[in-house]
Amino acid sequence: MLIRRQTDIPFEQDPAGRLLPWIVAIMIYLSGVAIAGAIALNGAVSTWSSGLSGTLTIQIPAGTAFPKAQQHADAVLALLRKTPGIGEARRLPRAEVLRLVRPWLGDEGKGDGGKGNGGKGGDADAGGLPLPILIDVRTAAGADIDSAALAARVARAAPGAVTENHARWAGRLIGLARSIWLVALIVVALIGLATVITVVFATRTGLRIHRRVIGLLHLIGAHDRYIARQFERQALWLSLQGAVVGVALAVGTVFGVVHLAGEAELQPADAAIFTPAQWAIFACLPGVAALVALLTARITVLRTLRRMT
Amino acid sequence: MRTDLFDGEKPVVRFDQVGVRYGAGPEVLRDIAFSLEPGSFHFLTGESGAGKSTLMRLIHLSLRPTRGLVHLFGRDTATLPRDRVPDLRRRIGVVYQDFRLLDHLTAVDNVALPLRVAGARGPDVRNHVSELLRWVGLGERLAAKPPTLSGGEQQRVAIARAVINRPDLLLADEPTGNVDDNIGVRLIHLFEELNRMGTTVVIATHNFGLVDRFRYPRLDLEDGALKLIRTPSPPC
Ligand SMILES: Nc1ncnc2c1ncn2[C@@H]1O[C@H](COP(=O)(O)OP(=O)(O)OP(=O)(O)O)[C@@H](O)[C@H]1O
Ligand SMILES: [Mg+2]
Repeated sequence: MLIRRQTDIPFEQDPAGRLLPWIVAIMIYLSGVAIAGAIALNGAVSTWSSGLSGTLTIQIPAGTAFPKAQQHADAVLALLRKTPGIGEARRLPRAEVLRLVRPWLGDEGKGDGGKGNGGKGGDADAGGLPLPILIDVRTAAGADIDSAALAARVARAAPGAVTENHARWAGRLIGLARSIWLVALIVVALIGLATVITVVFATRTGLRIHRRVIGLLHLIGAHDRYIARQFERQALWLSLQGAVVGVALAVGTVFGVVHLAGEAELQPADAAIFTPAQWAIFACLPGVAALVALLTARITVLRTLRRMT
Repeated sequence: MRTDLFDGEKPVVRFDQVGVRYGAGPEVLRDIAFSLEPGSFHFLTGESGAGKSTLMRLIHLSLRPTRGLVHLFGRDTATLPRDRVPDLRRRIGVVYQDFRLLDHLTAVDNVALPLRVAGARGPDVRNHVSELLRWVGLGERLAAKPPTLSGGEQQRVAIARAVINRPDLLLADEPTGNVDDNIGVRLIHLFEELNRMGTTVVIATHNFGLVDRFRYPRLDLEDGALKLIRTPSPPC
């Protein structure tokens, strides 16, 4: 019944109609992958930004130019303990500082500085460069710290110390997340536009191929809406077929990538891939595509017929 | 539906000084003026190329006159908005000289087309259509598609399609051209049946045997002009 539908217009002869499901399948596949990519990137960004919010880092310069670095660090720690709203203040161990700078200094830092000055403490050099002392600060939950005032007091206690507020970073990451969504939206909109153009083209071709039948339907007393409905149903059916295949392939691709990510231990094997709301986006894709195709076909037929006669 | 047809006994069709030409060609019809009263029955005669099909196209609004006025069911067709045309056409059944059946549809679906276009659906439609096809002698070919039907069979499908809606006006262009005389007579009887129920009938034909036998008034086209030839009322 669904496979061979009886229509007044013999659509099964249309070459454009045969291609439409394939084109829609490709378009929907690309949209699905773009959306999945945006969801994944966005998830990663929000994980980082939630890890960053509520943290400060104080950097105290060390080395021969700052012989009192150790005292300064102790003074800053004492200051922080007295400051209300500070949950935890912790001096990063040397090994961790080395790990943080390794991407910029390479293994040199570990090799030279680590062995030569292992026992001496914080002002040791890394590959000839002085390693700063880093203090990791977590604000108490819900506390609102005036970070500028804090930075000023820190700088008085330890001249040359720099207070970095990660809230700024978190703000930038939120901006990044927004632009990821914007790019995904633009990609999906462009794919939608390409699909609309394809449906317009296929519908116009159909109107040309079937102009004799359409002429007869008009003579028998068919309104343009009746003829448009035939084309609408055809567009709906063809694009729905393509869209279902496209979504299935996109979801398959997502599962494949997630599986690879699990094997690479980038995320736990049992982690949820998407939230139900995100899955709903995928479930809606074929319906949305079919609706867009239907409306496009309707408008194309009505406008073309009005111009034709 | 049919009541307004008799409102004030407006003519079903009225032509005023109608002239028509195809493109830049000569005037095929000129100064055509006539009217068809509701419930009338006419033959349309004239030799090949005289303009019979052209006249039918004008009545059915598939051709616009180059000059003059065409009134249909009391409405001036020149000022008729495009979206009102289908409603008028649904009141007219047309048997085209070249049948114009849809090759991909069965006989039943072809005949059901005017009903479908008008929004009718369901098993009633099918029964009604099958019954009519049986009546025109195609009971065995209900599911056949036009390319597998003979010329005369296609013609009868085309006639069934034209009358399935019980139109107010029936235009039949050479409806008996491809059938032998006894089927031709049977088809004219079908048209008379419709006519008795109120349908206005115009039959274009070359078949003077039929014209003489049924003795309805004749609209005769000659040199682009139309004249009415009244004949004695038909035998009972
Ligand atoms: N589409 C057209 N374009 C140009 N000329 C046409 C067209 N249709 C008909 N004609 C011309 O108009 C004239 C009338 O044609 P029409 O078909 O109305 O004649 P007819 O009386 O129906 O003839 P027949 O009995 O052979 O069917 C003819 O000279 C024909 O060549
Ligand atoms: Mg003709």
